[in-house]
Amino acid sequence: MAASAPLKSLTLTAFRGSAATFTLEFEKNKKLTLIYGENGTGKTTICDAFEFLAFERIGSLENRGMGKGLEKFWPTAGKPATALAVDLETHATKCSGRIVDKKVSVSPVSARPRIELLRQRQILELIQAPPAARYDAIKRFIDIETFERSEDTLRQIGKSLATEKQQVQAAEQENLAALQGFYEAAGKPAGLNAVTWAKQKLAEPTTGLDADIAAIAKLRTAFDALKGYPEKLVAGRGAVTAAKTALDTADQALSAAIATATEAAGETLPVLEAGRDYLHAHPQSTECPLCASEENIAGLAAEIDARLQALTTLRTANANKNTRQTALNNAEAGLAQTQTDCQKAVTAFTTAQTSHQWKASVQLPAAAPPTDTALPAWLTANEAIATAWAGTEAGWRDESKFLVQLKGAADRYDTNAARVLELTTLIPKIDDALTQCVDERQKFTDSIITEIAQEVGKLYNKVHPGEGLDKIALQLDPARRASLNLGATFEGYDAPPQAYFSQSHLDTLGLCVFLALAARDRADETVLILDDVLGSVDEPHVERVIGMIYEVSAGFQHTIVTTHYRPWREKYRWGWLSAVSTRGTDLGLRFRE
Amino acid sequence: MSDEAVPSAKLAALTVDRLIQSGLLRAERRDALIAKIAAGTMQGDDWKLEIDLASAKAAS
Repeated sequence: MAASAPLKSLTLTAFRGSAATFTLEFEKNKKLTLIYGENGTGKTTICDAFEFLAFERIGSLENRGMGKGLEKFWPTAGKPATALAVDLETHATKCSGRIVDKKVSVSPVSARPRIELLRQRQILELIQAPPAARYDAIKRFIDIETFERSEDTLRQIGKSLATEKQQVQAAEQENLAALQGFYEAAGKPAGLNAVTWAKQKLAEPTTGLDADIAAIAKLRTAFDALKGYPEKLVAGRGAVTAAKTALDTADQALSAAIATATEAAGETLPVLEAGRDYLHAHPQSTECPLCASEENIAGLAAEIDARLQALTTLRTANANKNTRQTALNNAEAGLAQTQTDCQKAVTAFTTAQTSHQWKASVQLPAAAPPTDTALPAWLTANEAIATAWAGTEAGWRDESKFLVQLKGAADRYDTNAARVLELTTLIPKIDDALTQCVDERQKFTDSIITEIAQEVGKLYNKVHPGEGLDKIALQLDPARRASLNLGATFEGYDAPPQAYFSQSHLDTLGLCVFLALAARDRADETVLILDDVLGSVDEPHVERVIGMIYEVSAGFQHTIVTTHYRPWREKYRWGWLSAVSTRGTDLGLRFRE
Repeated sequence: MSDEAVPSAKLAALTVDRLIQSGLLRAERRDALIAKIAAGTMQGDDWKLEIDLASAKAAS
């Protein structure tokens, strides 16, 4: 609905007690409409119509013990739901409400009226309600749940950082204790503490140590490699000697075999073998297969076998000599390889010794290792020196490991100390921000509640002069979130108003609380409806209540007051309410409240 | 109630202005922070970062 557009008319058809179509016209230049009528003449039906359009419900039917499904009572008795029509026209737009498929349809939704409706039976609800229910009534003005969610994440990060700081501080102390241990192990050098000593120690060059460790490991390996060669060389030379002896023996055997064999024995061998094969194949032969002579055939086969046997010995001796020669060659080659390897090992050791800048504490052989038979003596002479290298290397490795551990402890100490410093700076700022958030939130809610309470007091004071200002208090219960206490000063004492106020005073207070709240939320776009809320106001106060409502109505789009209370009618009749539009409710409504 | 009239938005604006005044938030982030705080989406790490950056800016 367009803001502040004056109401023009409200038309009801088959709605509640309005059996026939009824139109209530609003006077254009009057923002307060008083609807007077005896009970049962339809005043509440008009209020119901506004509620139907605004909230799609009719509150006057609720809480009357009729359970659910009250929609069936919305149309006039005997009329179908489809006949129901509520139309509200302003000087800017028109809004219609119907029931379509058992559902309320308001069109256009943008023209739906904003209303604040107080019914007679609700008037004491705010006063007599439990604090939590009272809070609900003002929640929309102080509901800062989403802000509080952001505030809570600030609170949580503050706690989390505080916990982290404790943990980091504990770790920092552990790191310091570790550094202290190293410092004490180093003899607590004077003029330094654990931290400054560690930094000084780690600032010293350490690359030489790693190179020393690598060089001495290499030297030890080269020395150990040399140790095997004397034995290998002795074995190699022995193998050569043995092979030579075996070769000589084989050579002598061969010479003997040659001496017993006939000249050109090698050339006759094939002939003899062929003769043997023939005679073995033809044992009854009577002549020589070669010369065909019969003279020497007897015993010829045996003679050939004997001559062949002599040749076999020669062949065996020759083969043996060849084998021995090969063995000698292999032994000599093996010895030569060992000598070559030994030379390489000597070179490797010499290189390992001479390619590094040794610390003065490292003892070294006075001369390079020999490659000849003097090597064993050289090794023996330097064995003690080489043994010392192992201890030196172990010491250097311990030193290196110590430096790694010291660096780790110092780095962890530095990291944790830096984090402690960072958190020491940050946490107070987080806490400060949280304190300001909480303070601002409390000021914000307190100011709104105070404003509401002051407004209630101001309104109440108009009806009961001297009894309202600074005497009505609203206060959030600090022990319970979303809980609102109501207080009043009575005869100088603070007490709940229910304790000492008369029914009329309580009704007035309830009305004032409702009006103060309604006026806070876009009042100029809101139709204020007070349905028979003045029943208990006694004659002396009527004029003041009327005046108060009249003043308040100026801030709303429109105000509708229904009453069956005759003095209101009289006030109008006698000109007291000249600025007010009045409407009687002799509307032909047959509804009875 | 319109968004700007929502209590959380009103309160967020008041709070952010105060924190900017205190040097705990940066003025150029005002509108974004008001929206985020009012919507309830300001996380702990967001607070830490914003306060850190505001402190760094104040120190520079």
